[in-house]
Amino acid sequence: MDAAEPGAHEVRDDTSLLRAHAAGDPNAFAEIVRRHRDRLWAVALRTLGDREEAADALQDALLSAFRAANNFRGDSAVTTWLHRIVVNACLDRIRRRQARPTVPLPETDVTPAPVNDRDTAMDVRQALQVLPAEQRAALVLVDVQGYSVAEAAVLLGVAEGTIKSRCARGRARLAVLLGHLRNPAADASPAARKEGGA
Amino acid sequence: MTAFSDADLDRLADFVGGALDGTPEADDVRRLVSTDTVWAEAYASLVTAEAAVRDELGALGAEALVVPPDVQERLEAALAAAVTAPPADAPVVDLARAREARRRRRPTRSRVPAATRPSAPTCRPRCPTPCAASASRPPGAPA
Repeated sequence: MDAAEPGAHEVRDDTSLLRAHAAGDPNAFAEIVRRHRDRLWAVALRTLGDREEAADALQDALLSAFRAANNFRGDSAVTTWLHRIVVNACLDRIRRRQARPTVPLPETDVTPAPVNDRDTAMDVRQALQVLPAEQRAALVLVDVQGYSVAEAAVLLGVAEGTIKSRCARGRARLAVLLGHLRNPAADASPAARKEGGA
Repeated sequence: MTAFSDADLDRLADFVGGALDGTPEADDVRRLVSTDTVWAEAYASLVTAEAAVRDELGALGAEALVVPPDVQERLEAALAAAVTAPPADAPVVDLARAREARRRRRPTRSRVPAATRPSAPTCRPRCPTPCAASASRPPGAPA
């Protein structure tokens, strides 16, 4: 068996390695993980926004993939399959912890925000965590990690139009949170009321 | 003030993001943008803001993230343990259920013919102190 030969894993593609793992090669799965762990970690960390949660989700996902290797049908690339498992593990965690509530935008003034609004705007990482989980996951995959809409649709198991909508709505909300669009809530702040003589 | 509801913003965002392409709703939004000043301003603002958001998200993605060493060790340990663990599809024996099944299979005293029933310890007639067998016998049960 070539698994015993030094360097044999380097020449095998992911699918061969996964099949070897399913056939009992004890080192094949670790090699797949070594190849993709940084990108998987980035997706988990950016989707969950918490280091420990991301580590737990990644571990759960990799163990799940380890055990489910026999179910891999080869319809997609191994990396796509792994990303899908990781994203689902993250979304499961977000749902379980009931997420943080989304910022309500009852009446949004859709005009460019003045410069001083941007000074108090959230950091993009923080702002991402305020979005609904599905919008966040879509944006992390498409705008942060650079997946195409079609790839993200496969990863999240939804239609491409759904990904487009989640990304578009997520960006619009981020635009408010990041201070690119005026948020009327800022006008109702105590400081603004004091200036207005109320 | 150009006030938009959440629903308006979502609709406009869908239009800007191409989620409505090829649908009648896209024509509705296009008509609003071209005929309504409020929608036109909102559209222009959102297109600019959306580009800025894309840039920020892209910049976030450009930051290389590497699995920290402690997380890496943890993953390796978990996978190493999984290699030596029994397969997930190995039969799992529910000990409590197995115990219950054994108990059900075991014949109860009342079903066992008297001839095969092991003889219970009994007290001597007019035993002055009740022995253990008598003490464990339920009240009213025959000796």
